[in-house]
Formats: sequence, structure tokens, C-alpha cells
Amino acid sequence: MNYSYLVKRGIQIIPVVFGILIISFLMIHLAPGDAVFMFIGESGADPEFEAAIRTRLGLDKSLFEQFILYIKGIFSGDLGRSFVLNEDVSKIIFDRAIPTIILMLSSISFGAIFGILIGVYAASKPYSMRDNISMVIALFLYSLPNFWLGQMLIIVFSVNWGLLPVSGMESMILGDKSFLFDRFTHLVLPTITLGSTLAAFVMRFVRSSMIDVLGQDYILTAKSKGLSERKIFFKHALKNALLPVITYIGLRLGYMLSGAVVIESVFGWPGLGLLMLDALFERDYPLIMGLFIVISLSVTIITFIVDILYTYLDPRIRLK
Amino acid sequence: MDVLKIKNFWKIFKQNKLGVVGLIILLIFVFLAIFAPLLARFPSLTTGAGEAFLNPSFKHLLGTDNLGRDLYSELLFGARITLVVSFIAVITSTVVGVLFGSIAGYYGGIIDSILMRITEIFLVIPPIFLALVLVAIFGANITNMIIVISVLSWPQTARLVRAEILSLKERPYCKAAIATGESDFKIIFSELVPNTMTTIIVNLSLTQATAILIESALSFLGFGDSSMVSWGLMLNNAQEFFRQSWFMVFFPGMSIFLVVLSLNLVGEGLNDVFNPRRKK
Amino acid sequence: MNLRNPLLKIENLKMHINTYEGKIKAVDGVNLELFAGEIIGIVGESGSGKSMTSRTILKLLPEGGEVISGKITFKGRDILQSSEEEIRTIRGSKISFIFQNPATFLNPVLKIGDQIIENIILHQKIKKKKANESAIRLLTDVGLRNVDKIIDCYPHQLSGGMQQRAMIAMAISCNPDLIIADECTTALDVTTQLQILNLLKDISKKINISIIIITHNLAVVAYLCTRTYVMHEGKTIEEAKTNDLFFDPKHDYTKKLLKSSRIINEEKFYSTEGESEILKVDGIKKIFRLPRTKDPLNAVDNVSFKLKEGEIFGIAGESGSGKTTIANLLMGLLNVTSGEITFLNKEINEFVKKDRKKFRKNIQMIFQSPFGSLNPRKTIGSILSLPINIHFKNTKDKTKEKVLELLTMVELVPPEIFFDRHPHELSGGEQQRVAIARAISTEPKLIISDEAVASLDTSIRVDILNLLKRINKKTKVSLIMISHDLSVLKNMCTRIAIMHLGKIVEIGKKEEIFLNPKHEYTKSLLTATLQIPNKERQTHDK
Repeated sequence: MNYSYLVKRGIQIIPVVFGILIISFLMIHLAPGDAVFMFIGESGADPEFEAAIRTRLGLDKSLFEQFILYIKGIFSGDLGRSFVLNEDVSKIIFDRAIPTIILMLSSISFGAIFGILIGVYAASKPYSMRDNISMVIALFLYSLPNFWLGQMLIIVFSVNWGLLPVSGMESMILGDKSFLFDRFTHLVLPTITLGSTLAAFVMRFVRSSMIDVLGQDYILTAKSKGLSERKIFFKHALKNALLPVITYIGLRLGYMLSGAVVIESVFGWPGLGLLMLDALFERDYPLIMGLFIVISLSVTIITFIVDILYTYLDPRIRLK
Repeated sequence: MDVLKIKNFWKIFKQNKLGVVGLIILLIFVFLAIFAPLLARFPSLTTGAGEAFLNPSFKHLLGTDNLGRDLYSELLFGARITLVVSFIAVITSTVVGVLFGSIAGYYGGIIDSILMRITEIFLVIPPIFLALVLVAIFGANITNMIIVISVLSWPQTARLVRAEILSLKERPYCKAAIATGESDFKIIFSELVPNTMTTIIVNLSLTQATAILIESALSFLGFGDSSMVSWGLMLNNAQEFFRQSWFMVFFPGMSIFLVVLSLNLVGEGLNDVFNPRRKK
Repeated sequence: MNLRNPLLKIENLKMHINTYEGKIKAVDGVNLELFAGEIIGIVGESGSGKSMTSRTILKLLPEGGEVISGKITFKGRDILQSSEEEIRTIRGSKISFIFQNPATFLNPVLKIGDQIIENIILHQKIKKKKANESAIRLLTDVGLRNVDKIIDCYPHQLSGGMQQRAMIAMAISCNPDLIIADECTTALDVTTQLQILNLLKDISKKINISIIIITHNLAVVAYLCTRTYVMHEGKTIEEAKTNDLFFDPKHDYTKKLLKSSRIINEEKFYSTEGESEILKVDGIKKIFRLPRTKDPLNAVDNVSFKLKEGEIFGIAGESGSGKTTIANLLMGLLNVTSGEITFLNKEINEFVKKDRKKFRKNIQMIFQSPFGSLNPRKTIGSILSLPINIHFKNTKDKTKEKVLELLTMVELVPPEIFFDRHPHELSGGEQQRVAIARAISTEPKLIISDEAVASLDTSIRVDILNLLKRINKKTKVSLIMISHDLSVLKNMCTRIAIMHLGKIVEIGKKEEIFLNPKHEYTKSLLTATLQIPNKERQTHDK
């Protein structure tokens, strides 16, 4: 196990984490207007209360000291308190995280599987009809504004044909449907919408990775040994080609979460994205910043984990 | 054959049929945007131009929305916002990206580490999140939108240029230029960057496609400039009225799709010209 | 040996490749015969079609490749008429390949054992366990040790020589009748090259396998092959017993090829030297830190030498010896970790800081690859004008005049035409001449040439070396020639330094080095360096 590589990657994350914290700190303090209002809301409060908050939040100290306090707070899990919802930010986020996680997992699975299947299919006969059509499909998919796709799917499948629910994560009244089935029908359209962009990118990536691999010297060696096309394609080429896909999907994580915000809005999916939008409308700054930090850090950590996974799978890095 | 010469360029580009189609679509939209005031039936945001939820007719080519606004006119004015905002953002972010990327790639060391960390940070923060927070803090108007989109787009360009410069830096002609005594500034901008032009050009159209998607997403979520028409805003408006009129959803969205598609097709076409693949 | 029926017979083979840019006549009339137990050679320069011919034998055509005409017969079977399935039974079992660069020709994500066993199981249809045993035996046969560990290793964990042995094991695993070795030693260092060639020789004798050796290196052919074919522009233009080929070539092209290779072995040239010492290198060290492990790498380890005005000095060494690092240090492209370099009586760091322009004017470099030496976006005229404009105050017309003079000096005539061309319109040799023109344009005192002729075809090499000699004679510029090819250095240099693992192991006048080497490494380098036979020597057998 190549520990030195792990450590090196681990060290590389630190500046990123730091950068995220600095950015969020700066955003709070660079905003026009007094930073106090970010914490207590814009409703007029009496001056004494304001002064007390100021001291409590340390806003009368130097910028640098504030930053240290800020970081300390975050690492002890204190993301501040939402005055709008009257709860600790960390609790709010924790409660609303699961729907987003479900949506992400299902979309990523859908996108990855669909993308890999078509990408491999396209690469099996490069520059042929099947390849060209597949790549045009990919092009169309990633040119689609995903919120529009979501809306159109709703119109067709929910409004017009009534096959699938219009919005939300679950039905109010289950009736005679099973719990799982209900959840599933609600999940279908959001998954397809969010996953389709990922599928498009994965398709192209897999296809080009495969074609790249198929042009490598060791494929000629495999041919010279008399192996069948099939064996060469699946045993020699595929493993080499699919290895980088894992890292690639990791790279798209940020963009997918980005898309999740929009999709949750279209489908009324009660996750962190919708929470963010509500917070923005309400000007609930503690919640906004808290969400920002949690999401950014989550992506950082998950990307790191994906990296580790990759180093384990690629023998060139795993050994020596 | 030097493909950066227009004559040679066009000869190869026109062989890519999809690329040509994309270019045509793009030019049509540019035309519509430029001549919007002349082509539109009604001035922008005129409520009550007709009854609400009308189907497409001769008077209202694409129908009307919930407030009786003529969809066709709205669409034309929306094109202006979309194209202008994305174009300015792309130019700004490309200039910044090329500057940063080439300097970081050439000098390496601390400047490069800083750039790499910055691009990593931008990779990790979901773009819409950052855009929303920035717009929430600084206000939702056209200028801010342009700034926000530029901020989101430049790291990608910088990364690309940096990668190219890194590899070009190792080429003997760059070492020879150093050996000859050429100044660093001249080496970067007179020897190296011109050799990255093909990458930059392809990147331009792809960045613009992304910029349009971001702009419309922001408008869709309600964080765009609400004083002007934008396709995203039209879709936002349409969100409540699925049952009444699917035209309100279809036309603005289709426009976004077509413009983005055309930019991506042109990008593919450009790629084919600059990096030809060997096929039979 | 069955003298009557050849094992392999190629008759008038023509194969074309349809590419984006047009049709390439890769193989344009090849005739060849091979008998059982023979080792024959196919020799030719790059682009001659030798590799393509060999691939066609097994119908391993490249993308867009198409056989136009001809016949290939192997053990009585018509290859070109056989179906893909039938050919697959021959590939890897009756005829196998050994390729040039084992690092890229072995699958990086499959274990060595797996790649060998795969072949055995496919053709011999035995169970995995038995195949494993065979694999272990094969790897031992090709001279590897710790075979049980190697079976479970991935290619990148082995050295170049070990990888190539593994490839050979793979090739002989099913007892083939014929092995085709395509430039199989080109990517290896000199000492390993010899080992691999000897291994092939042994195998051929022991298991009675015929071998086709494809190479551009005449010396390899002289060492191993009983008969040789010469290929040029897709055709087999000459065939002879190796001895006859070297001493009595019939075709003009063969004669030209031999002449070029032999001239390089000439010892007669001496540079015109002046009195003053222009360069002094004193105990320099350059230590790199390896990126992952942070271990120190002594790229250059306590190197010292001096150089006089007008002298041509050689630095010989294999890849990894530190020779290129020295070039970069002298050019000021890298800083020394310790030690001192004095150029024109000034310490280099001082020189670069205080009088950068003068430093850059007086020391220039010619790089190995002509492709990449010149900025593809600029014209030749613009490339050559640049250094002149930096270092001399000239009018535009005067500069152009100087450039045209330079082009004439490097024999690119008529110069006006070359002035406006772009690098990609020139051949490799022409581009290298431009690189030389650029180097002499600033009228430097010292030119460093780092493998300046290594990527050029043999026939062009001689011309370039002669050009450098003429320039040295005319301008008295000192030259440092860096090369892994001792014959090049023998041709050009007065004194030579031999480098190994960062140190200079021996340094002296060229006669002493070649006729009376003192250090062990020098000796092994000289014996390993294969020489083509000329009138004074016979093919030596080892």
C-alpha cells in the first residue's frame, strides 16, 4: 500500500480546505453593509442587543482574530445559529441532508452505468455509425439545460400521462402503493434529469479513453499472440480504459451538486439544494454560509476518498 | 498547412457537417438578438399584449404567457441578454485565464502551486452554490452576473493553458529561446502562447456554452436580473403553469438548448480542424 | 536445415495504408525467403517498410492498411488467403513477435505471469496450473532470477532488460517456428543490448527457431544474421550473405548506407585548437530529489574537465549517465548544487546575473530532436533573425543579409526560399541545419550539441557531422559533443570523457580511450558497442 502517496494527497487537501474557509469568511465580511446583520437578520433590533451580539460574535476584534474564532467554531461543529428558523445550523443541515444524498447516489449510479455502457458500445467500432450516433447523443445531452429537461419530463410523464408524480419525495397519502414503490416513482424523474448530464460526459470520456487504449502498443502485442478481438477488448483494453473513469466521476461531483440545486428546485425535492434556495430568499446568512462550507468540504473529502480508491486500483501507483 | 489562416481553416471546417449546422444556428440567433427591436411585435415585458395562455397564432407567433406577454417578443429580447452576458464573461475569463495559466505554467514554483490550489478550490465548490452566494451578497444585476460567471469560468481556462505551456516549455525551441537570451515576457507571449491558440479557440466556444447554462440556471432560480427578460427567467415563470401552457416551457428552453448545442457543435468542428483524427 | 522448401516465402508483397492525408505505399514490392533454423536480418532506415512488412506476415495491418498484391507462404499455407480465425492459431504459437519497447508493449495492469500464461492456455489448451509451471520454466530459460516473484509482478516493477526477457519468454512460450524481432534492442542501453542479442542467439540454437531481425543498426545485423535483406522505400533492394553484403554490396543505396556508417568510424579528424582555456568545470555536483520518495539522485557527481578554444570535446554515456544534466548546467538552465563552472574566466552564476546577454551570446546549444527545436508557428527567417536582433544592433536589411549568409553556410540553398518556409515544410536533416545556423548566429565561443545526430538517418548523419567540422575549422568555435554513440564521438572529438552514473570514469585523448581503455566501464562499453565490419576487421563472434 503506497502510504507516501496517500500522505502526499492528504497534505494537498489542507490548502483547499483552508481556501474554502477563507473564501466563506471573506464573503461574510466583504458583503456590503455591516456583518452583524448577517447574523441577526435585518429586522431592526434594539442597539443594546446589537452591541451584545457584536461582542459575543467578536465583531469588535481584529479581522485576524475573528478568523481564528471562526475556524475554531467550525471545527467544533458550531456553524452558528439560524435566526430565521431558530435552530442550530448544523442540526438543520443534518436533518435535510438525506434526500440530497439519496438523489446524488441514484443519479451518479444511473449516469455512470448508462454512460459507461454507451461509451463502451461506441468504442467497440470507432468512427462507425454507432460511434457517431452515440457521440451526437452525448452532445445533445450535455447541451440540454437540465432544469428544462426536468420540466419537459414532468409535463410529459406527470401532467399529460399521469404516470409519475409531479414533485416531492413522497406522496402525502400512500393509498395502496407500497412505501418503496412510492419512493421509487418519485425518484425516477429527478434521477434521470440529474444523471443525464453525467451520463453524457461519462460517455464521451469512456469512449475516448477506450479508443486511446485500443491504440496502445500492448494491444498490438495482444493481437500478435492470437487473442480474439473480444478477449482483447474486454480483458486487455477495458480495465485500462475504465480505471480513470473513477477519478473522472469524482471530478464531476462538484458540478453534479450544482445541478442538484436546480433539480431540487424543479422537482420540489426537499434536500439541501432547496434548503439553500429558501435560505437565500430569507436572507438567512448563517444557514447560507453553513451550507456553503458543509457542501464544499464534503466534496473535498469525497474527492479525496475517490483518489485513494484509484490509487488502490491502479497497480502502477499501488506498488513501488 | 497552417490552419489558422482563414482560407485553409474554412476548407477543413466545412467538411464537418454538424459543425457547419451549429455555426448556422448560432448565426441565426445572433441575428435575431441584434435585430430584436425590429423583429419583435411588442416591446419587452409588455403585459396584456394579448390574453393569457394563448396558443401560437399569427398575431402571437409562439403564444402568450400567464400575463398575456407575447412569447415571441420576449424570446427575442431574451436572446440579447443571454448572448451578451455570456460573451463578455467568456472574453474576460479567457484573458484572465490565459494570463494566469501561462505565467503559472512557465514559472512554476509558488505561483504555479497557488494557481493549482485555486483551481482545485473552484473544482470542489459547486459552481451554482458559489454563484448564488455571491449574487445574494452583492446583488442580482447584469454586471454582477457577468462578474460571477467570469469568476467561475477562468480557472478551467487557466488550467488548460497551464497544461499546454508546461509541455511546450520542455520543447527544445523554448530552451533554445532561453539560450538565445530572449526575455521571459517575450518567450511566454511570443513563442509559447501563440502555440496554444488552437486550444484557446476551441475552449472559447465550449466556455460560452457553459456560461449560458449557468446564466440561465441562475435566472431560472430567480437570481438573475429581474428587470430584464431572460430565457431562464421565462422558465422560472413557467414553473407554476405546466398545466395551462406547455409553450411557456418549451420555447425558452428550446432556445437555450439550441444556442448551447450550436456552440458545442462549433466547438467540435473547431476541434476537428485543429486536431484532426486519422480516419479512413 | 531444409534447403529446398523455405519456411517463409514472401513474393512481391505490396501493402498500402489509406490515411487522412492520402495513400502511403508502406510496402511496395518485397521478396523474401527464410529457411528453418536461420537468423536473417532486414535492415533499412526509418520509413523503409521493414516493420510494416513483418506485421503483414501475420496480417496485423495498421488502421487503413490494405494488401494490394503479393503472396505470403508459411509452411505451405497461403497466409493472405487464410481466414482471420486460421491466422489467430498461428499468431503467438507458430510465429511470434518481440517488439521494440517492452515498457509500452506490455499491458501495465496485468501481471507478467498472467500475460505469459494467457498465450500458453490459448494455444496449448492446458490447465492454468500446468501453464503456470511452464511460465516459470520459460522465465528461467531466458535468464531471469527470482522467477516466482516476477510472475506476480507488474511490468513497471521490472527494469527494461528484464521486461524484454519477459517478452522473449512470452514469444517462445508455445515453441514457435519463427520469431520476428522488431528493433527489439533499440530502446535498451548498450550493455543490455548485447545480452539480449546473445540470448536470442542461444535460443535459436537450442530450440532451432528461425529469427527475423529487423533493425536500422547494421552492426546488429553483422553480429547475428547469416543473411540480410536491405529495404528502401518499401522494396527489398538487395539480399546477400552478411559478409558479402558488407564487403561487396551491389545496389547503390546499400553502398551509400555502408559508406555513411563506415565514415563515422573514421579516426582521422582533429580539431584546430587555440591556446586559451575557455571553460573550466571544477568538481560540480547536481543532486535532484526524486518526486515521490524524496531520495537524493546524484545526477552529476563531482565532474571536472577543461576546454580550450576551438577544441572538440566529447562526453559519452548511456541514458541516465548525467550527460544531459551537464549540458543544462553549462547552459545555465539548471543550477549546480555545489562546485564551480568558469566560462571565459567568469564564474557562471555571476556571469548570468551581471552580463546575461554576453553569456547567452557566447554559449549556444543544438538539441537532439530536430522536431521541436524550431517554433512551428514561425518562419525560418524569423527564427534566425531573433538571436541576431537580440545580440547585434542591425538594420532590418542587414539582419536579413546575415540570415541568408547563415543559411548558405549550413548549405540550405537557395537561402531566400528557406527564409520564408515554416519548420514543418523542412525535412529532419534540414531542420537540424537550421538549428545549427541558429546556434552559430550569435557567433558564440562554445556550442554544446546534445545528441544532435541521434534522431537522423545514417546517411544524413555524416553530412551534419561534416558541417560541424567545417564550422569549427572556419570560426574556431569550441564544441562539446554529447552522445551515447561512441562512433560519432570517435569521428569528431579530440578528447573524450566517459560518464557513468554521474561520474566521469575516464577522460583522455580519443586514441587512448579506444585503443587502451583503463576503466572497467569503458572497457565494457567498448566491447558492447557493436561495430560494423570494415576492411581491417572481421565480424567478431562472442
